[in-house]
Amino acid sequence: MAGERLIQVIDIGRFRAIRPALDELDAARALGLESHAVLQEAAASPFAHSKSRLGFAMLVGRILRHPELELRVFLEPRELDRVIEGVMHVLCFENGAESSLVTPVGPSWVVLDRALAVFGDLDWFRAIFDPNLEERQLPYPRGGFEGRYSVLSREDLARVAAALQPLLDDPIPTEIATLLATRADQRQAQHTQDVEQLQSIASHIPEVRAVVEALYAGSSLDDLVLVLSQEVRPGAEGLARLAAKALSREELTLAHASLL
Amino acid sequence: MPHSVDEAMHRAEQLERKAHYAIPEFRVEEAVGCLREALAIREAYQGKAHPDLIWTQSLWIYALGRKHRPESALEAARLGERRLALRRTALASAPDELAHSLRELIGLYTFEYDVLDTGRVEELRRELAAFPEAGGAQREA
Repeated sequence: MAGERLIQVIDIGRFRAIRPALDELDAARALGLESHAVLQEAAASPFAHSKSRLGFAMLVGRILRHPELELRVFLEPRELDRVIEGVMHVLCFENGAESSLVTPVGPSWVVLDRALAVFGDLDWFRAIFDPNLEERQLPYPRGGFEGRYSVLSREDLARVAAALQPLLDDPIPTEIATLLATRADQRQAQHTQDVEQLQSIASHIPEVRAVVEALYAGSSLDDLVLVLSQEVRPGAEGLARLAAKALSREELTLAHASLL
Repeated sequence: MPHSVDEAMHRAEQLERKAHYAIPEFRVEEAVGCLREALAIREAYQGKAHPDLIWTQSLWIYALGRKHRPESALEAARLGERRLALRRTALASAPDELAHSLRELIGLYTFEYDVLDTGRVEELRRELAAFPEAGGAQREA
């Protein structure tokens, strides 16, 4: 798996309901009454004014102020993309699609970063969270290399919930423990290479060399396996929580996007 | 060139859409190629003063911005001038949006911290300063 993968709960029923408005926005012509109502609803949401949505409410305000104008006449393409993305995030995602790279497991998201990359080693996970299956990709938001969402079917959702169950048990299953050991081994090799490079750079400066040695002293392969194991459990719990939430209502599912 | 106006408009829309998808993925040359063709079609079938040309120019400006080079910035500013001329008519009823367009053009003349044409930027600033307070446009600045 390359790059981080963001996983969130999406209300796919809501997405289908607002799809005509998103299509109309995407055409960048004048909007109909229903699309205006969708924009008004998005603008009224508290998430429209969150820090991560900077400028979204202002853009929607500009559109709503001029219902007579075609969007293509006064909006920039990037602004239009931000409006489409914002409408989707605010209306279709829990907590306005809030997420954080600093806190990989949050109340409404999981970010599979380097520490949680072991999930990408699991066959079932790779098959279900495959970003390249076009039929599972949502047409919006248009995100370039990142930000393009894929969604899970109900069957996949049930598979995720079932497959995660053993990861929540104690002790951690042998299959996962083996994968974690392999991951740890790879990271240890990378780490050794990094330290050697730093030491060679600092070889003529004893003070810096001493700092490098002190910083990297005492980290063993066993320590690394332990750290990875400790990180996998909250990741699995977070994913299980999201999957359970998505399974609780027919119109919900999981959406995932690459953060690169 | 397409045979009918409908066909021509359909082709132009298709090219613009293709460019819009290509730009965020940094396929800039491909996007510019599409937009050059789309603009030629629109000019031939709709005339050089048609407001639909604005979107094609906006996409082109967006693509040039991705190159992040002073010469591309200047090219974008020139396109921005043509777009502003069209917007003056299209946005006659929306002075707040016209003010936005003036600010955007000032932005296009600025590459990193350099102003590419100080005389023109001063002119645009004077025009912006003389703008009536309309629909919150000045406050947004």
